[in-house]
Amino acid sequence: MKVRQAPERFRNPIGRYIVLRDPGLCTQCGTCMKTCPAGVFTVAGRLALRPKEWLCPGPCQAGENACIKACPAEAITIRKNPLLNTLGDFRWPVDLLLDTWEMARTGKAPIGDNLRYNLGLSGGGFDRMRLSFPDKPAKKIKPDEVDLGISLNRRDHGGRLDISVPYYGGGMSFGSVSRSTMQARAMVAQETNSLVCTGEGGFPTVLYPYDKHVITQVATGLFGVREETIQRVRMVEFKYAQGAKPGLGGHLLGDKVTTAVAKMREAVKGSALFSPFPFHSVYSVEDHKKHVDWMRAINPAAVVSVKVSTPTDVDMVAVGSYYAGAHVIHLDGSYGGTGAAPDIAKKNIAMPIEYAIPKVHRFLTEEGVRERMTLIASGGIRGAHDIIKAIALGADGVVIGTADMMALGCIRCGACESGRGCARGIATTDDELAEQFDPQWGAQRIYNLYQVWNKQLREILADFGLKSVRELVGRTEFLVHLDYEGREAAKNA
Amino acid sequence: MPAKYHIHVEPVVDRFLSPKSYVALERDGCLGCLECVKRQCIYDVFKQGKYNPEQMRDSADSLCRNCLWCVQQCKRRLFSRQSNPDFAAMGDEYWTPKIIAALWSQASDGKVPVSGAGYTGPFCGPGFDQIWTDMSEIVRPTRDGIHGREYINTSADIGRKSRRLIFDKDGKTTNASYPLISIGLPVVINLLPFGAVGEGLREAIGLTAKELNILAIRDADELVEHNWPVDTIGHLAPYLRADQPVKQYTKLIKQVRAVEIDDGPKVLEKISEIKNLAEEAVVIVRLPLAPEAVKRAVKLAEQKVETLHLFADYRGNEFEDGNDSAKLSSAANPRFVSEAVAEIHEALIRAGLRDAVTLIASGGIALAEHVAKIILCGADVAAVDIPVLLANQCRMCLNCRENKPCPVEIDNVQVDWSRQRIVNLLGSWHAQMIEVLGAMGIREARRLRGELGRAMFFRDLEKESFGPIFGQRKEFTTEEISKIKKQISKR
Repeated sequence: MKVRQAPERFRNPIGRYIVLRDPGLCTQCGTCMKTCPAGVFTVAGRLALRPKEWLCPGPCQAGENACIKACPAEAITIRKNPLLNTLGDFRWPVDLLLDTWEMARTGKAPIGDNLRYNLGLSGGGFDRMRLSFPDKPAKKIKPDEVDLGISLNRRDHGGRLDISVPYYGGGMSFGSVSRSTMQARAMVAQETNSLVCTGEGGFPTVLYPYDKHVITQVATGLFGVREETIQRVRMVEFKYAQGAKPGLGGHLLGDKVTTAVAKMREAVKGSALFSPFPFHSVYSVEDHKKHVDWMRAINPAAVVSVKVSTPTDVDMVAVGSYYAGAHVIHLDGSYGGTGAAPDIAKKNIAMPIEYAIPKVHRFLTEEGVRERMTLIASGGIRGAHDIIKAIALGADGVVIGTADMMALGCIRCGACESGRGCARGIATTDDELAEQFDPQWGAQRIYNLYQVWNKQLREILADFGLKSVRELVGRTEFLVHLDYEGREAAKNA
Repeated sequence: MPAKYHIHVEPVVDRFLSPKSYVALERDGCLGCLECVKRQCIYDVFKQGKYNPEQMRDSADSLCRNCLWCVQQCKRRLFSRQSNPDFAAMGDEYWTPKIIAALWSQASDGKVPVSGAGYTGPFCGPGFDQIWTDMSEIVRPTRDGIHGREYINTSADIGRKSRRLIFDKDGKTTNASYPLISIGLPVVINLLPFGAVGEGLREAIGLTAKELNILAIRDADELVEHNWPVDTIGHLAPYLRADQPVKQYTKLIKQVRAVEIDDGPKVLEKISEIKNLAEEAVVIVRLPLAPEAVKRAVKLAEQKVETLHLFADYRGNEFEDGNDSAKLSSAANPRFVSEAVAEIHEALIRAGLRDAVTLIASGGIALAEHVAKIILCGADVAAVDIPVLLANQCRMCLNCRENKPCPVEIDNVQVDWSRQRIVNLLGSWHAQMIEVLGAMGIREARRLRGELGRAMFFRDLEKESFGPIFGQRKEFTTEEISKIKKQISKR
């Protein structure tokens, strides 16, 4: 796969500006076509087409719009798109949304300040941290030389499992998301030598070609978990809890349980499916060890990941997982999540991931097991800077969920659970809605986004003077927090 | 085991179309093409939406789920969406439009609000948003959809509790028994700080209190006037201001289980007057939260006052000194209700008096999580006020304070409609409480009280996780805090 244009799939893509060309004034002279650096103005034969306003980057020439200045007939007007006032939120502000869509479309970093697509407005955590670059890196490193790969198994049992990027795809089940979405993500995982998790909804046959890059999730409902699905893969993930609804379990509404979903989950069509909380067979670390042993007996080569939420005692949970024999501890912070969850749980239960990473990293280090345990973080990782920040705080890598959906055209309307599901065909199992996009297109979009991230990650690491992302783990000296006295103000803030 | 506590919720249609956060716009210029986006809408907004000329609002805005399909697919680009200024103008910096809309929807369907795409709000905010509740990875009670989940008890007691049982030589208890009111939810309905309250809403509040087995604090004169039936009056607690003598309400006091009175120099005499009339009545003393309140609370507990109602203003700010709960605090740097309550809770523990007294806390209780959080901070029971009005579609325009007509005619609500709306709201809160309690592994709301180990505070988390990395956290100035509050309320 190569970076290639993957245009928006809607007729009227959302841009920052509204570009109007008054047909009454326009003389079809073609000046605008020649001046516009972004390709907003196009023709079919001799006829000027509607401006592709979503491509307009705004004042492109010394604070002015080149086309307006150049147009001899004064036929062009440009103004801000009023729709933007209704898009975005604290975690995904409108600029981050627009730029993420653009990265997915073009595979190139948007023009302008890189903080625009690397920061939210939530006023805390990652959004108040900035990267702190040394005046002169210790070693001179070219971005191309930087290694982004991480190793997920650092213990002396189980198979080797190295991925080429410090992130992989989080669990979104068949049932909560469409088959096209799953397939698109799996294609990207294979292409980038990374992984993608099935979520708790079984292993659809469309994923078989990507076996080696799929994680089978074993969650409390045990939906679609069979010996065969565990033996297929290189990594198995136990989901104890998830950040968006810690301690609450899952609930797939009856409407979403279509024939295909029911078959996959060995359930009845139309009846709501619950993943209870917690695992009824696990009430101690010993019980948990039994679980891990069970996986290893079925698939000795499997790398076992344990996905937990972030309670106060998350550090103890992590150490317990280590002693039970797990390879990966995956912390899912409370501000992420993709599917439907009770609003009360999203904000109020369990701590944000920014607090949990350093806490667990420190505890595992003190316990002397940090070197043998892989620490993965998720729950609100939106872009390259978030990845760097999470790793610098002490994680080995991160898990991506929401950003993938953004690449596929999610607008965060939050109506994933209602009626037939997502109107945009991402989080739905409705046959008609789910056919909206081709997995190939979806894969290209996610791939494009990841390539922009990779480029940014390499540049940042090179500026830090680091040859590998593995050297960044726990290096908090590369971070500053704007609300703290302790460090000099961020250099790129 | 007593019967399981259950709240019967059922959808209730809105009387008025409420302002929505966004409005859809449709321009002229349709050419009647065959791929009309109106037919493609998966929510059938265009088929079902109707313009209501009387209310000057389109029900399409309520049906629309903001997927932008029409905006992005219409060939002629005829559709657009805009923020609704009516929506953004509602409420204030504390009672944000988002909170108001969330309560409306809970009152209309009684369900736990669910949405996708993760959390969209600020990292942390003022007040209750400084607190996260804990969860446990491996907890009981279990949550199992197939076999039903283990029962989580949400009841609370109002009154004084014996610290231990004392037995005589025949093995019988010799404790003095104190009157105690058990309520099904750790919630009582507070006096309303404003509102165009008419006969319908009054009756609805009484019926709700009875249906949910909770208490509602009501103005004493109003209760006398209404002449409630015997089975309902027990769920209503008359409130006597300092200037209302007990002897004027003799008949009423003999009927009720609880009476609320203002704190004041003669509070003890007033309590004994009430007790002389009705030995079994619990007397609740209203105490405004203020810096000095902690001393007064301990003093009252020492003097055997059995229940304190600690109130902040309706945005949850403590008062400078004794004040009127309907007014906003004039204190320069008020603490938030949770902090002020926690201080009193801890002082009572140190004085060995915590179980001798029940703490009811009010002011700024806006969402279900606030009930859980104020209890974590040390209250036994939360008192709600404005949400009762919001359940009746109040828009917090405050017209009622100036005696202007209420735009949603709350003074005219039908009893049954209003009752079911309030029941739905509290039913939704009950279900949400259970979610939070279940996640924490707590089976009883009573055990949540003061369980600080199950609460995580912004300040502590920052210090513990970021302190070793970034050093000392900067303190916010008052201006910065008010700027943050404004930013948050804009969304």
